[in-house]
Amino acid sequence: MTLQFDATESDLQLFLEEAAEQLRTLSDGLLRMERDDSDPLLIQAVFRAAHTLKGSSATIGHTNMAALTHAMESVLDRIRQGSLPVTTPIVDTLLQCVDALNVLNEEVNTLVPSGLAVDDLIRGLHGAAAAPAPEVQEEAAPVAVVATGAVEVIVAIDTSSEWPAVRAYQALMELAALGTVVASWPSEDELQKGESGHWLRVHLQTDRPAAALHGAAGSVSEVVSVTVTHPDASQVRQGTPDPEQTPDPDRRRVDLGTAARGASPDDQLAIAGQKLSTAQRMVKVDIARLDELMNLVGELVIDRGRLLQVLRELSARSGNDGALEHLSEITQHLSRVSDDLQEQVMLSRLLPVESVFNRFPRMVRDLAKKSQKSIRFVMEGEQTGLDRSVIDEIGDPLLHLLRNAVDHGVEPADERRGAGKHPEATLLLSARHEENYIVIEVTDDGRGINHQKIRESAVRKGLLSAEAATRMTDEEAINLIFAPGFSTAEQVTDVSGRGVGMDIVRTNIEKIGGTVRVHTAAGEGTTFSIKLPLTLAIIRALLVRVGEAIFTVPLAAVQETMRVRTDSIHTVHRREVVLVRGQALPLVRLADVFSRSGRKVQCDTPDWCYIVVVRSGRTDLGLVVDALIGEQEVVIKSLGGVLGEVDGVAGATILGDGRVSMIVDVAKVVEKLAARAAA
Amino acid sequence: MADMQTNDGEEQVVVFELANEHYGIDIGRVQEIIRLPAITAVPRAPECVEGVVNLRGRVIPVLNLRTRFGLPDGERGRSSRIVVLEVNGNTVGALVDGVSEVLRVPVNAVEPPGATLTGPETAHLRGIAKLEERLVILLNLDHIVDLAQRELVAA
Repeated sequence: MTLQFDATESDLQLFLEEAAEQLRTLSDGLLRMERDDSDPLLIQAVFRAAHTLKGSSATIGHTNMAALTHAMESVLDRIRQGSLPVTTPIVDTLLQCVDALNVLNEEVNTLVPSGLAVDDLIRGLHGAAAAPAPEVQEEAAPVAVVATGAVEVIVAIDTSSEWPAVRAYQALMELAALGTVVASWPSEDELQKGESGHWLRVHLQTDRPAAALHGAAGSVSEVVSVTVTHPDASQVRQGTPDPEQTPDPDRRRVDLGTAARGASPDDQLAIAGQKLSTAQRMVKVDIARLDELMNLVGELVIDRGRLLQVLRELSARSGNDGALEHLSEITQHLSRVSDDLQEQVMLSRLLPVESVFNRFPRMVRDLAKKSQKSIRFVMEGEQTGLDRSVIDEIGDPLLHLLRNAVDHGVEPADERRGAGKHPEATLLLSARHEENYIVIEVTDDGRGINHQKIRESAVRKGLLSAEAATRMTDEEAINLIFAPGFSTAEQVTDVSGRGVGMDIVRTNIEKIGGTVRVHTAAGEGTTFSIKLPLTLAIIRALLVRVGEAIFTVPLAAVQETMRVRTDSIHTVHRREVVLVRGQALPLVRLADVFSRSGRKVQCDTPDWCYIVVVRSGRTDLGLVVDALIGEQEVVIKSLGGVLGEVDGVAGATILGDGRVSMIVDVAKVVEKLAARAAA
Repeated sequence: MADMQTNDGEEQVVVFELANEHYGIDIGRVQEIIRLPAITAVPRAPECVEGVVNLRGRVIPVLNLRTRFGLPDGERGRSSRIVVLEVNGNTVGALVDGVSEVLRVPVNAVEPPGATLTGPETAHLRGIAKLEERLVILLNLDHIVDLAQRELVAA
């Protein structure tokens, strides 16, 4: 049996996309509401998500979903009006409903009925809404009431509105009915003259709850958002704020101090404004289509390589020739165009890092609470774009770095006071572009990393000898934190784990062709700086030959290449090494690494061979190959669903002659060598 | 999809050769048949994975069906082909000695493999089509690819 919905295939697709977004808003929003129920903007967003979902599910004829969202909407509406406090049981019930909605949503995808009955849930919701509001407890104070203070209300009007001034005026009148207007921008006079942008900012003296103000201003049509904040008296500024001129639109603050109330009005205004003004110039494109586009560009890049190769062969054969010169010109032009096209397509695939950053404020807040530290968490450059493939990979490393910063970097408030610092620490997460890279930094103003302590700890853990530790420069010592099995935490906490963190951070970042650097100053703080390529789809690589096979080594991992006599390779403890500048460099023969069961890659090592020195983590390793072919841009292809992940292979690429070449997974090869050495 | 090829109790199969035997694959599964391009070996892959090839910009794995069926590895000659197949949503190539024809096989000419053959390889078979002049062994592709995948995980 299959389900039938009253909509076309593409309508259903659209529904699914939108529903996914609304469901995310609902679950994220509910979690945040549980912690802080005084943010009317948030409650409004959650309410709106339920409302939208109700409408769209009714449109496609999904009666179960419509009924459930309707019941949720009623509960959320009471919360919004301030007549129902946000309690854990209510949030639990609502979250259960979200789970159910996810199941119901899947029905639209698969057209297979889930058999889920919503009646119980709906009854549960009615029960929750009908239950008498419990005595208002201290911690669950549902409504933020400012007795005598002024509140600031910011009203955003739809940019497509024909009568922004009229709408702003209506909103102003609504608000005026609930208190005394101290000041407004634009002023009442200006509004009456019809002078208005799409913004209204009001300072209002009122004792009404935020939700009431919100409801009043929100009742005016074409109002898209209402923000109510409680600025300190000192922040109630005179003069005209200009939403068009915000210093840095990417900057958003998330205060974690006691008086935290999310982003400051200025910043919210900037963010909302940005969304509104850009929305009209944007086109929604299916991500699969962008992937396909990237594939096609990849083919073009490959063909360009092939064309160049043919051109080289032809010129070698026939020397100077007018037609050949012509061909060469065309090829060069094609190269330039395909370069530009590649860049443009790559840029169009970029997503704001926001999608990763978003989960951190909650996490840092929780961690800070747990470790009883006062931390102001600031995020910058969340709009910085990064390829989806990279975005998927950076979440975990960042999480580790932030955890470490909270746990080790930042001192307790007492210690900070003692050091003459502000008791509230600042933790900054920032992203920015630098040429073809993105740089993400985690900076704290904590105690910094003590290199002496690191040395002692490393020696104690047997990572190196005391003598070696003293010989190290301070910088080298600090880099020991990336060594496997290292942790400076005096006690193991459930916050930053057991010293696997930094090791894994570095490995994961290098796996996606990035680097991580640490900069620290005693008593001033620490910065971890991660540099990542914009995309993982196309990389620069070194092609090497082993026997008849051509392997691809990502250039990001290559330190240097050298040509050595085969008799200069020595065997130490059954392992081959070569001396480079007085240091023994362990060697790995690519032919051995990539031998298949039964068949060996034929290696024709005569008197000379080439060594590609690669690095992963702190380990250098020499890959022994027969010849170096050259450097070029390669398009990374997956080996396909059947083969999945092959050990030691990071993927495949297609060479200029149409052959497939394996991309060496340097991190894996180094890891294997280390495991063999340990065995 | 297979239903679309069935007509009046017939199915259409692409017949190819392996060590002088005739094998058949449901035509609905065959995307195309190509001449041998350069095949790149895959490190640590199970024996039956011949390697990967470039199919117009896509990298697809190629299975060596001779190895799979325990037949001696043959020379690759002018008639060798790769049959590009769609199996479980994946594209896979099968290396064969040669492709001979497309046959209509009446459903009632197909016997289950157990009736005439025994042994571990029978799991790869869907049945035996007894035609006037010869036998065509019909393959169970899902099983073959499945097994290769499991071997790969175990490797």
